[in-house]
Amino acid sequence: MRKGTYWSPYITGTILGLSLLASFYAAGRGFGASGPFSIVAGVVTNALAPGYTGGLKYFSRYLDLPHPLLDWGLFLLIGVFLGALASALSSRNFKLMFDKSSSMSVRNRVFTAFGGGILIGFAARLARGCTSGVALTGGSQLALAGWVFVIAMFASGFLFAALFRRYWS
Amino acid sequence: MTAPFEMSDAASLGLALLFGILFGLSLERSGLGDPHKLTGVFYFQDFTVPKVMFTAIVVASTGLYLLSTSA
Repeated sequence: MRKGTYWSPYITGTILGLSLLASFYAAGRGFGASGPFSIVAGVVTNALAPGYTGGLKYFSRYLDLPHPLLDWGLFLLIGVFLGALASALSSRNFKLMFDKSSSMSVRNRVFTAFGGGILIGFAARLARGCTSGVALTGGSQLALAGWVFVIAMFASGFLFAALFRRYWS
Repeated sequence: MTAPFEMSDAASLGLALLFGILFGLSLERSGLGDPHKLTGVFYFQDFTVPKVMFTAIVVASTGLYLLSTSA
């Protein structure tokens, strides 16, 4: 693989679509990425405040399981990390860097990334899934929620990207 | 949707890891580890995200349709 170059999005999209199809067929599951964050958050807060976390209805459905961390989605996410790492290393695309636009201060980048991360986490669980779980997996099953999500995501993306343009260019 | 195969929990988690690796490889090879590629679509500069996403959706949903009619 040549350094710093990516594959055609139609090739990678086809690999992704075939992987998703194989997962539907072999495991009866699609791809998602936000659920594991809820599980890990539940397990960690349960270790810190057992009585409180276990009493929350949202977390109890994970914590009542005998092994909450032996979760399909969590193993999928570990695989995503390993696959992306292997891909970046083998294409010599691996680099440790602090990615931001040159016009943005480090303090602002940390602040906006942290704030954006909180919004993404909250919204993904509110929608019962993220771009992977609802848009990709739901969209490919022609689920109404998937396509409502895709339309809403791009519409709000264009709106807020315009508002925050000065941070990125 | 139910899987057509009976398998142990360990085999199921192993499959999850394998599909995750394929998922991560597809995303990294698309360049989607780069935040500028993610925001680029909204400034009409980089259409990688919709190209990858809609190609994957078309491939997977076509496959699902073919599987459902052949079953």
